[in-house]
Formats: sequence, C-alpha cells, structure tokens
Amino acid sequence: MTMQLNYRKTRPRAAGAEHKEVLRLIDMTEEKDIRIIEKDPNIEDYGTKFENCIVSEPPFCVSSCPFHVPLMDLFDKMGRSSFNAAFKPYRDAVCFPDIVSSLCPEYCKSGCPRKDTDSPVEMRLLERSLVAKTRKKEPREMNLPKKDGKVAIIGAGPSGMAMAQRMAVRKYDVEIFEKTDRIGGHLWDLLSPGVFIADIERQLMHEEYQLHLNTEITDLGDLISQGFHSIYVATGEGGNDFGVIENAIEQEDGFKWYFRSEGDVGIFAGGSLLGHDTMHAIADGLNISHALQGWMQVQHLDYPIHSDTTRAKIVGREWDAVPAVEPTDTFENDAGEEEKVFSEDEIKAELDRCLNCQCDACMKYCDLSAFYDKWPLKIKKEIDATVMDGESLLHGKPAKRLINTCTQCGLCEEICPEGINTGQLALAARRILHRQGKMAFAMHQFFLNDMDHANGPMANVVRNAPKTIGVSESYESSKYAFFPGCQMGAADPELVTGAYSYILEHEPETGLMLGCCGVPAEWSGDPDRLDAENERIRSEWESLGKPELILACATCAKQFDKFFPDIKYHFLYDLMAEWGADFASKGDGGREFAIFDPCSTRGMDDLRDSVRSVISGAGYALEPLKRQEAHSACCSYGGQGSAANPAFAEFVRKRRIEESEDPYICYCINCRDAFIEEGKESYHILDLLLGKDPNSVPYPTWSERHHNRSVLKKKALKEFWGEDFKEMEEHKVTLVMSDEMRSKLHKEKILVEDMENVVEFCERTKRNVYDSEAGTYTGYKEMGYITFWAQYKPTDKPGVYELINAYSHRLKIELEAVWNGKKVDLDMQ
Amino acid sequence: MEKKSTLTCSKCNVELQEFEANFVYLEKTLQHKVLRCPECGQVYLPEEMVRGRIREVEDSLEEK
Repeated sequence: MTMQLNYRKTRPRAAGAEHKEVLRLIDMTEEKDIRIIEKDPNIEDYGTKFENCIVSEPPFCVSSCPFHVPLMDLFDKMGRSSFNAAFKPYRDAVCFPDIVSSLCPEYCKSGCPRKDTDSPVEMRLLERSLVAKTRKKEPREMNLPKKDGKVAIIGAGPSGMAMAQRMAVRKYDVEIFEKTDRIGGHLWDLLSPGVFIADIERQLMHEEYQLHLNTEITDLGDLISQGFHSIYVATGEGGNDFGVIENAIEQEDGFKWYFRSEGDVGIFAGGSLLGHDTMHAIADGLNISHALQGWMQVQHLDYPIHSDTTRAKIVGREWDAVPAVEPTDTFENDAGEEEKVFSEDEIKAELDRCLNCQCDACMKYCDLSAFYDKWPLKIKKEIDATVMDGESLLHGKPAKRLINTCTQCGLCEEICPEGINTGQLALAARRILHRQGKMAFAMHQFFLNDMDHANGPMANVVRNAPKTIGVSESYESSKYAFFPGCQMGAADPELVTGAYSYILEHEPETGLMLGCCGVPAEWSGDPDRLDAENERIRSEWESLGKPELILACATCAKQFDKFFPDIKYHFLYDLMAEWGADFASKGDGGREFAIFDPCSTRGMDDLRDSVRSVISGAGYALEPLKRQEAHSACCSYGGQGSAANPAFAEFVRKRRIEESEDPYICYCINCRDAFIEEGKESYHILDLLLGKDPNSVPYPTWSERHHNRSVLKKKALKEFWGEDFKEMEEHKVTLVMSDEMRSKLHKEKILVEDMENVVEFCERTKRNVYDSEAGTYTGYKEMGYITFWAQYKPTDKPGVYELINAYSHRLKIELEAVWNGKKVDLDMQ
Repeated sequence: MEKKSTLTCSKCNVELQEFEANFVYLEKTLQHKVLRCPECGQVYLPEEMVRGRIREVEDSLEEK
C-alpha cells in the first residue's frame, strides 16, 4: 500500500517589524547563539512587540468620554461602597459632578461592547447614584502659595466657570467678566439653577476670584492694558471670538488650536463659542487650563492631548446578555427635586454588567502570567534586568527562576492581540544566561540527564526493519522509521512495541529509532548540547537511509520543523486514521470522554481531526474541551518548568484537569502522565488501541521510567529481531526502601541510581556521619550541579543497604583547602 | 541541636561540632554554622535544614 500523506509544517507566522530590542538581545549573544536564533523563523519576535501591549489603553467608555473619567477606578471603589473615595476622582475629572452627572448624554455608551448584546452599562445613572450617595461633596481646601499670573475669563458659562475653577485652585489671580447679571450661561436652559449654581459655588467655595457681572468686554486691549497674562474667551454660542477662530492654528491631523497671542498675552477660546455642546464646553475649560498655564509660565503652547481613540481590545471573552438594572431609590437634589437613582445593591448589580474592558488575555490564558500574577511587560522588565551584562545592585537577576519556569507552549503569542511572545523571550534569555555562565544549571540537570539516558546504551535503538519479525536479519535501509519519542517507552514499553507492531503490519519497511528529539537541550538554553543532539539525530537518521519518520509526539515534530526541515515526517495518528485501527478497548458510546490536544499541536488541524475520527471510530463518545481546543495550553511538562518550579507545575496541571469532569484521551504521553499524577483519569490513544489502562497500575516513578526504557530496548530487540540484549543496568550497591521512600524520590526528582551512587561513594570513602541513636549513616555526593544526601543503614546482606531518607540541594558546599591545620585534598568523585 | 551528641564522623570517629561552612550558589557565597567533623571538616546537613533554610536561600538567590 502507499502512503498519501502531507508533509506537515507549523503554521506560518506573520513577520514582525525589526526592532532595537531584537538587536540588543542578539548583540548580547555570541556567534553560535546567533546561528541558532537564525534558524528560528520567529527571530523578529524576540523581545519585540512588547511596546504594543494594550494593557494600559483606556477602555472604550473612557476614551470616548470628553473628561476621560477614570471609570474603572470609580467602579472599583463604588463596588466596595466607598462612595466618598469614588467621588474624588470623579469630581477631579469633571469639575462639576452635579451638572455633569445630570446632563451628560453618555458618549461612553457608544463604546460599551454591551451595546451589541443587550444595552450599555448605565454610566450616567451610576454617576448620578454616586453623587447621591456621596456625603462629602465639598472640595478640600488647599493651602497653596499664591502664583504670579492674571487670568481673564470672558463669559461665566459652564466653560468659563470650569476654567475659573481650575486656575483659581492653582492660586492664580482669576477675574471673570460676564455681560449678563448671572453665572451659568446656557445651563439656565437645561437645568434647575438650584442644581448648577449650588454645584459651581460648592466647587469654588474655597477659592478667591473676582466676578464682574454686567461687564461686557468688547475690546481685549482693555484687559491687556490691565495686566492680564492670559485670556480665555468663552462667550458662548454666537458670542464674540475676538479674532481667535479665524486665527486658529490647524494641525496636520486636522485638529485646531483656538489660540492667538498679542505680545506676551495668550488668548484662548473654547466652549459653545466653538459650537461645542455642554459637556465638551466644560471639558474645554478644564483641558485648555493646562495650555493656558503653560503659556503663562514659559510662553510655551502645549495643547492637551485630543485623542479619543483607544487600541483597547477584548480578547477571548464571552458574556451573557443581562438587562440593565432599573433604579428604584429616590434622591432629592440641591434644587429639592426628586430623582430616581440606584440603591447600593442596584449599583452593585449594574456594576456587575461592566465587562472591565482591559485586555487581560495573557493573565487569563498564559500560565506563567497567571501563576506569577505579572503582566508580560513586567515579566519583560525582569527578564531584561536578569540577562543584562554585568552586575547591578539595583536590579539583580530577579527572573532566574521565572525564565526557567515557562512551559514554552506558545499560547502567549496566539492569545495576545498584539502577538507578544513572552515564551520566546524566556527561551532567548535562557540562551543568554547560559552563555554568560549565569544559568541556574541545576534547574535543567534532571531533564538533560534524562535525555542522555534516553539516548544512552541502555535505551537507544536505531535499527532497520526486520525482514521477518523475530529474526535478526534486517533490511538494508528503511523507507520509514518509527520515532516514538523518549517518554513513551519510559512510561510504558508496551505502547511502543504495540505501536511498532501495528505499523509493521501496514508498512513492513519501517525501522525503529528510540531516542530523544533533543528538545530538553533546546529548553535548557545550551547551544552546544542542542547542536550535539541534532548531529546525533541526523547521523542516526542517515544510518537508516534517510527514512521518512513516523512520529508519536507533536513536540518532536516541532523540533524537526525547526532543525530538520529536510526530514519528512508523518504522525502515527494520521496513519491510524488512514489505515484504520481495531481498538482493543472500544467505547460503548455511553460514557463521555474529552480529547486533550497537546499544546504542541497548535495549528495542526489535520492531526486533531485524525485523532478525533480515530477515537470516535472506536466508539468513544466525545465531549469537547472548548478552551483547550481553542487555545491549547501545556500539561506542565513543557519547558522543563517542573524542575525549576514544582509549585508552578502543580498549578498548571490543576488548571488543565479542572476544565472537564470527563476522562481525558491524550495523544502526548507527557500530558497523560501529568494528569494521572494529579489523579485525573486519563488515557493515551495507544492505551485504548492496545487495551491498556494506565489508571489501574501504579504510576511509574522517574526511576522506573529509566528502567522501563531498558525494558523496552530488551523487549523490542527480542520481539522484532529475536536478539537478546544482555547489557545489564549497573548497580554499584543495592538499595531497598519503603514505598513511601520511592514516591518521595519521585516527587523530589531523585533517581534510585542517584542514591546508589551516594551510598557507594560514602561507603568507599567513609565520608559519612554515623547517628548512634538511629543507627544510620548519612552522607552526600555532588553530582553535576546538585548535591544529593542519603541516610541509610546496612542490611544483613553485603552490598545491600536500606535507604531511610533522601534529599538534595542546589547550594554547593565549599570545602576548605586547609582544615584544622591539615591540607584537605579530597577526591569527591 | 539535640542530635549533636549522637552524631560522629565515621572516618575520624569524633563527635560533630558546630563550625562555619561556606556555600556557593549562582555566584554568591554565603556562610552558615553547621555540624562538621572537627578533625576532617566533613559537613553534615540535616534534612530540616536543607528543606528549611537552604531551600529559602536557594529560592531567594534564584529571584535576586
């Protein structure tokens, strides 16, 4: 039969702009590292795009508000019933809270995403309720020194009074010229005077200013000759603009500065005079006060930012339609009129409708951000400080562990609307730390040793297919080769032999490659190790006649994509879909299962479809894992974070298993094992094919996983080539121990063989401490970057010891060269 | 340290006593009083210390 399969590549990524951050990171990397980075198609993403983060973008409502009222802050405080505290930022933003909360036409509602699903949050009503609930509406008296500078304001309407309030609070000399006999301007047509007069007077109650009623200004020369330094023209609709409008300075973006100067005197205009409505008129007074102050101080024209746009986005959120709350409380305003406002409970209910439109996709989806409670920008700052050359007393290296915690699942880039890739930055940082010699090497030692074991003589197999199963004679070369990855055989040798038998039934010229794809070397940030692994894989592959590979792990596939674009590969599960598979464990269509897509299958839709069709074909009823399907996150194995940060690994596992009560069907062996370890019923697709139940047998410890690899080698050589694998695992001493001790070793990522080494060393060198009370010996041995301790006692049999306790640390014990007047020259090996 | 009197160095057959010892991790050196053999200087760290103080120091150096 022929195989008609596609050569699968990971999805193409959009090219990002080159950026100085990239250059900096590369500059700091040696030539070798640059080579490795260049192999990565995402080179331009390293460290870039962070500046595009939209976390601090104002939400839609705030950006469309003329006052940019900090609604998130306000709502947060109102939600806690801290009305006085919430009132302050509101008053600071709008100047006249009673007027604004009574009249505002709610520009904010045009931005509220609820407008498309139910109805926008009732923002004006919330603000009105805030005003009603606030007990301390009076401003605080500020004891500030008087400032030099005289401001003339023409017109005592809302815009002029807003300007007067701002400048008077800053203690300038303020004089208001009003041609009628009252303040308020066009507010008289809109609102009870009891409300707006009270509000204006309240906000100016502590300030000194001169109000000239019945004083019409017709010539600015009068004011200039009186020594005013700045003039604000707010004469209202159809009022005198004193030539400001025709002299307006137009900006490139079309925005106009309504300003002209006469000598040193700056003349500004704003409000209804320019055709603005009441809210914008007040906002003009507030905003232009900054420009006016700048002009008086340094003759510099610095107009306020006039942008009402935002880059804010809501990502990955769904919300239910909830109707707006009806207000039932009654509030008597300053004019003695009754209004309907929200009660405290109603405020909370309405606030619950607010979607808090701040992009928080990373915090929701990225395990690293969620665990550390840090936004990517913060993470980047810490990583930058950590990889910075030289020592800094201020910053230190705060992210050593964080850098080595990331699971490298790549979800950050997918979920971020700006494509920020924190994971790539973390990986680049690992390489840099490695080059600097400042890597926390102990964090990767365990998995690098594990990789070496998988590629070592006890586990590694590279064979052409047997011409006859069970007979030593092999084909000269292989058309295909089964590359199951390093962990499947470690978890259960029969999964590999079973799958290989299945493949040979359909495609007899398939060789076997048992080894690791080298991803631990990449995750460790060690370019030399990675190069060595890649060379090994290439030479093994060439020795089989450059076969097309059959993979069982998508992480292996990613490595091949990255480093061996010339090696063609297929997924075992695609082949199962094509060839058909007779499952030993069939589903009965009753009990529901969920397929857990590994993070490494992101973008591999065909593979996902194949797995589903194969599993459904075997009679299993499937219930989707919506979140995992849409945004596949790591099971906790990726990136070797479990060694650097065991608490993080547990956090991630718990997050993954809580998505569904259904048992998971995985097609990455590490996902299966991570979940089983956390007590979740899980199966690998091959478990079901071969009729195995990994949940009913004890979970294989790390030591047993090593042992399993040699069992696999032995079994495979015997079963397929009829050969005996005689090499025995080397045991210098024999250890016996309780089951509790075995599971403790597993949890601590200490291997039995590590302990054997320690005990052998301690016995040989007599470097141990005898505890006469317990009758035990305790000693240590440094292995690599880790110091292992064993507490043990001899048994009746020579060379056999009982392991009582085990522990390890990364801190290195420095022994003195001279101790007690004697030279200490120890062979610590 | 109640265990002090029961612990002896197997090589020198003398009781362990408290001495300063140097530790190195991530380019930082620190000192701590631990039980050592007064003759040969062999260091003994009980599990409580490794899980407690030493883990603490490791953690803080990894985030410093």
